[in-house]
Amino acid sequence: MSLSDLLAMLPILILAFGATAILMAGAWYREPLPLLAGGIVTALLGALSAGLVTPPVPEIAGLFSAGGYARFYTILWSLLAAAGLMTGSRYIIEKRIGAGEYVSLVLYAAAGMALLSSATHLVGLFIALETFTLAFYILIASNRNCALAAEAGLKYLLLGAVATGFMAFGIALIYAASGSLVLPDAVMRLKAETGELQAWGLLGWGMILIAVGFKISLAPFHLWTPDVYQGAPAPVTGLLATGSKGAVVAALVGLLAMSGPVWNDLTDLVWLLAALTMLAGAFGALGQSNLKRLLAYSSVTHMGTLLVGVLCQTSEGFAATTFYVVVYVVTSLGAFAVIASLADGRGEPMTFDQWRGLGYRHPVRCGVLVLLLLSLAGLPATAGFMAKFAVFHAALQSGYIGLLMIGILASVISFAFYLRVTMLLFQPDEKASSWHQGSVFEHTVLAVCSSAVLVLGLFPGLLFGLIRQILP
Amino acid sequence: MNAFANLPQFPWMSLLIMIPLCGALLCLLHGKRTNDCRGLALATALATFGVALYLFVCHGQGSERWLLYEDVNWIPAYGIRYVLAMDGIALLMVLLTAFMQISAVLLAWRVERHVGSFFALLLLLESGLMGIFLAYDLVLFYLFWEVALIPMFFLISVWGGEQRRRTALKFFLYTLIGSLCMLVAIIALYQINGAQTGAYTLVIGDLLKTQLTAAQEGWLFAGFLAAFVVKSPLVPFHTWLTDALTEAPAAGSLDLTGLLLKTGIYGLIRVAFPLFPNATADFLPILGILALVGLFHAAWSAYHQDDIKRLLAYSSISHLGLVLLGLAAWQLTAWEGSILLMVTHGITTGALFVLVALIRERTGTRSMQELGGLWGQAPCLSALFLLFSLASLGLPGLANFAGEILVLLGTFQEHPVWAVVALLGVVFAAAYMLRLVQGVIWGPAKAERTLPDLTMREWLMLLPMAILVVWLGLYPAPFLAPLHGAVATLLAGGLP
Amino acid sequence: MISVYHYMSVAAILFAMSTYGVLTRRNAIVIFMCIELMLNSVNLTFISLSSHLQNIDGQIFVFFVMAVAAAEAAVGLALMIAFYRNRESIDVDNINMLKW
Repeated sequence: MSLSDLLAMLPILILAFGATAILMAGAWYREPLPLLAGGIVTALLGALSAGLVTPPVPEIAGLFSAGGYARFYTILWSLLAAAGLMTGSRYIIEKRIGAGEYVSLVLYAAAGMALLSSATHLVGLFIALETFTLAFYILIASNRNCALAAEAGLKYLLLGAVATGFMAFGIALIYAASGSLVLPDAVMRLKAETGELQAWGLLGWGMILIAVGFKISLAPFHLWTPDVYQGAPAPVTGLLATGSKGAVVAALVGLLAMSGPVWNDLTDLVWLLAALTMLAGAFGALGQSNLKRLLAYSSVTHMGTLLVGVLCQTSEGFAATTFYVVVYVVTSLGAFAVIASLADGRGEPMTFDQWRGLGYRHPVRCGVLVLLLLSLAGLPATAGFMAKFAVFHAALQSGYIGLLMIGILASVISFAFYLRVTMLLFQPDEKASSWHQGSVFEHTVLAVCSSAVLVLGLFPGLLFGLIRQILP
Repeated sequence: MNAFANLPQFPWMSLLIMIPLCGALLCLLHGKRTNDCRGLALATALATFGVALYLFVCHGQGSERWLLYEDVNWIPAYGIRYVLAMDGIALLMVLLTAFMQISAVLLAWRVERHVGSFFALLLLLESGLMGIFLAYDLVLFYLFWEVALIPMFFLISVWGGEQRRRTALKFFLYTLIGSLCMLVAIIALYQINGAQTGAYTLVIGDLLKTQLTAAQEGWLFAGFLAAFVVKSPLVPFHTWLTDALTEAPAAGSLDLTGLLLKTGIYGLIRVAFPLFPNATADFLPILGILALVGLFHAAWSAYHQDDIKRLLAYSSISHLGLVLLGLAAWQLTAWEGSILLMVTHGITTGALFVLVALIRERTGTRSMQELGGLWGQAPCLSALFLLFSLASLGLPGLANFAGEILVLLGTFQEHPVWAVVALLGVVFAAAYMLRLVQGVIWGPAKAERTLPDLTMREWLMLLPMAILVVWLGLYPAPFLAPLHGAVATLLAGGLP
Repeated sequence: MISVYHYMSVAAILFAMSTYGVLTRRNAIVIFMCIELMLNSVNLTFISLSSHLQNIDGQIFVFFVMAVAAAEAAVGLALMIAFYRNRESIDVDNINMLKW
């Protein structure tokens, strides 16, 4: 590993070393605010260095790419970490959670996600995936006094570990079939050879798909999602729903864009997964009476839609997916940040009874929530619409008319439950109680998310132009 | 030669969209100060009307295809442009929107709860409507289509009557399913056209040249139709409207019946018919029959209503049936009549909704069984009620007559049977409107009430409408003039 | 002669057994042991393939898998202790406060 390799890795190094330093500092200083500030600065530095420092080599140690695509996601996940720290600030102070641990874990997770989105080698893919998954196991259960959080953490751990097992075995099978762990290489050899080994490789891809299915909660592997989202504290749920899923999708897109159509033999399976996921999410959300569970099912639907974009395997589809990931991250993070900002001594407002009439008590934040929900639903003038438009257009271009129809059906159903929440917020209810006023940090995150949703909705051309340049 | 000809055109149409939008934002920000909001909303509505009136007077008589055209590249990655285009039809609709919005704001003066938000939504709705009438790019059109939907949903669900939540959801889902079908059709058309020409575009004018197979054309047309027919509303899809009109707050019903319903018909004229001429040709007979069915069904239902707001809702459906019939005739006179009838129906029925709201405010009821004898108690109000009712049933010399006679004349030339049947329907309209008048202002007073007559603010709302109703009835020519060119172009470019 | 296929067959059988264990066992610690077994079957596959293919990559991957397994075990046991402290049980049937 040479100096230029290290320079190319600078953003990751900043995140990882910053995290370690803050973890150490946290052992001596228990004062949370300086640690939090340090964490936010580190995350922003990571984003800045990814944006400003031109990497001297295109690939780091044959494991990770340092190209524009990887850099783009490094910036996104670093900013996400900063936002996660901001939304979590009040939570860790009030619950007396070690700030050093929390901050460092969020930064480690960001480093892991950034690595995953830039993986070019199966080993890199595996390590990166595990890096942030391990951080999330702890983050979910970070409030040790809450039985719900511990249960959610354990549940995520057991299923996550099984997914890890499948991932590792899938990689082993691909190694067996192709004799290589370098991604484009492995794919090339798989395509070149025929016969028995081909079948093994296919089985390997299938197992990786199952593992990915667990991670990004594709139906029928999505059942953990609502439970874990409900149990985890809202700031962590915000990260879990956005970063951990977005990074996996980003890795898939990067991988497929680099190595050509890998999935030709798996197309039918992926088609089925996407359709099932969109419908399972939409129908699952209909019966919910808890906002966090509802958002969990909504994220399931969105993952299905994202899979449609990935399935297209055209540059159009990849660009649409990347745009969708960014939009979904911004929107979903904002929605969970609203929940986090309202949380007080009683916990977070979750059930619909708690949300009823809240629009009159906290008009600004509930207005932001409505905007974000409408964006999740895909209403024009919000970013969600352009994202759906792009993905559906790509699907049509690739001839997936059936998926397009299912996607539209899921959209109609999801409109129904997003609207239910919206109506609930503005239902006159004298009994509605006031919640926390929220800190400056939380309001900043909300302001950034809601303005990003509007700007991306009205002027998506800026981001589309960038994405087309960086796609590998 | 005009000295200003070389200057870039002033974006008048964007102004029409932006003024209400800015007003809405300001109202939202000043939500706490009730009086400021009212003044602000009124000022915004007046300013928009001023712009619309200026356009009507100064740009209304042009002979080009487009009186005004704005074109800005918006999302180059997908070839989506910000295109606004105004022909005579759009001009009339814009003028109607701006005009009605003044009344809506004045009518909402008495709203007590969350005043800032109410006016903000009302103005946002206006902005969306202006956008629908002006947009000439399909994504832009779809955007405004949804933008107009959301405020209406909130107006009903927060400020509506007893059944507001169920009604709001029904309204939203009906129109939403329609509009998502339209979205699929838009994306599909975009894709087909892009694959043919290599240049992806969504501007309606460029999409006209798309080569479609019969099956493709049928499906795409059906997608657009789903959105427009639900909004119009054509008969099997009308059930949301009566509930929504009944439950919506007064200003909301005014906008809904006067303006929002017109967007469906406008969409047919501006988007669906020109894009898919062959499918349109097949569809016209069905449209004609359904329009006639709607005309009679709604008239029959109206006759049996006790709630006067519900009666007016059915009368709206009946009138729009006549408008659709005129379109189905595919004939110059009938089309001009249809468009004129859209405008006059907006004004007369809108005014009646205003009056119903005023009666409801004063007496606390909308049931004909409990009303009656208003003439003795509030003569000015009753006189106006009579005027607008007579206008609505198509009395010669008042507004609706001009439109109706043109529709019937035009239809008679193409489909004499339709016209004769429709004429019977118009007689029906007389029956239920007279029953309404009979039940509300004549007859014995059902309860001893002392009713205040019209206040200054209410006169301000109703008088301009009354003047316009008489003017349109006696001398509609200035409003028909801008239509000739636009309608002729649409008809000429239409059926094969 | 024991070929690479034999090693891989053993690994595959181990993997299938441990998957079955994960699905049927009720005690979280036993489930966790099954997961470790899964990862070890992966290790066996990699080592045998690495020697068969004369390619060092597989062996390197094994080190990473071991590291990951150790980290997972550490975190997992800590989580189980936290769960036990709250609920006095580590039976997965008791993971029921959240709808499974």
